[in-house]
Amino acid sequence: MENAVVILAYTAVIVFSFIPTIKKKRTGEIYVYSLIILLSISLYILKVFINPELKTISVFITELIEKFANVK
Amino acid sequence: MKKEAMTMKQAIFIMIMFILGNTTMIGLHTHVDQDAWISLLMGFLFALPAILIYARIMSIYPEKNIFEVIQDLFKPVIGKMLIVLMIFFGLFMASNVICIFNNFIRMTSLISTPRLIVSVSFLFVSVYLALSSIASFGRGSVTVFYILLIVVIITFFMSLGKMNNLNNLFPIANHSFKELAGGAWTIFSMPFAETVLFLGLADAIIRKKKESSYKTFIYAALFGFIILLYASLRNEILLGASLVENSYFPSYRAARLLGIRNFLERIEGALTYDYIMAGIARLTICIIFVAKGTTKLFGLKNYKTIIPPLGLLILSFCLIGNDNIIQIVDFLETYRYYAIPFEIAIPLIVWIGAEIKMRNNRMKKNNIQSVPEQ
Repeated sequence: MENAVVILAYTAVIVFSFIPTIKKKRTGEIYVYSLIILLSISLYILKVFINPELKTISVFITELIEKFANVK
Repeated sequence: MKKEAMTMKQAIFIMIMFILGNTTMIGLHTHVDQDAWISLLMGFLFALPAILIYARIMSIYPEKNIFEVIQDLFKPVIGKMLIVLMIFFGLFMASNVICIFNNFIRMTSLISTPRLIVSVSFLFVSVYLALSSIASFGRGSVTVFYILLIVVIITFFMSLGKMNNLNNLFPIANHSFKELAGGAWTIFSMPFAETVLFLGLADAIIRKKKESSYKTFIYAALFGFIILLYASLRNEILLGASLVENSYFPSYRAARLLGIRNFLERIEGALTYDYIMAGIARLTICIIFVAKGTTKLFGLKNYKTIIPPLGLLILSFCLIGNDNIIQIVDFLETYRYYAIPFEIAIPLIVWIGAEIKMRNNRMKKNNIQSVPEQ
């Protein structure tokens, strides 16, 4: 169910926003758009399908600060 | 007036909602129990110099956002690195906002609704707002701010009758200065110094001749401080220090106790509306900030084009940012260290650079004017 909602969100963004951008033929925008979408899909797949036990950013930053700055 | 602009008054209202956005909901988490209000006062005072630096940057470059200022001041490589860091700060803050609201909504009302569905709905509204003009976002925020203010005033009067256990505030100053300062530092980093994000919108704020950017920041911080002080005192008196510290949403819990006999009850519903509106304003600011940063990073012209995919990126960030409210509240301890580069170091570097550049430009101008006279 959750994945269906996410797929719907991606489809809506691609159909109503990405395709019109492609039609306008603005190379820079198309390049950045694709980059952001690829990055977001990769992060989503990584967390949901590949490694659900992946450390969250907050835990990672906490450990990093504890390790290097020796605080807390 | 530019189409993509908001007035100073609208900026103040948005900034107040931005300050109140998360903090009224999850509380202060200063670990100084009944002395939280002292830490809040100290945190506000600590934040004033930082806020004045933000206002000074805005005053030196009135029609430029922080990313344009960074590009103007630094060489491409260093400038881009600073922009990337600020973008990450905005992205992570946006994911935190969603995660907090997600947990709040799922813990108070939509208990079995999946996490992603709440996040997507919340993001959809904010992305829509960010896509509409900043001017209409500003106008809308004025109305929402007044509603927020009315609810605060109503809860104030409703809580007066219940606030009879003033013993919960005693003993005053029962903690060491170090503990109080630690709490103040947490409050400094969230929410006061987070107003650095407004530098990303500085190019969209129109000022009249007599209006100063200092006023915008100081009025907003002061008003936010007053409301937070009231909320903090109310929570401490109604719930007691230990319950406030152990509660993830203390204001909501305190509001559940309020009511005027059988005449007016369940005021927490109105409070939930306030939280959601302030949260949407906060998230929208984060989205616009990140979009403007990304636009400058890649040299694009229109920041609105990339807002929809950025919404999806924030959604993914939300998944890997925090798992639950416990992690967010625990992270507040680290947040005060994590936020230093973004809230203090980068603005300080930008400010010093801007002052030096302004002085050099002035000297050059003076030299040019003095040449014909010779």
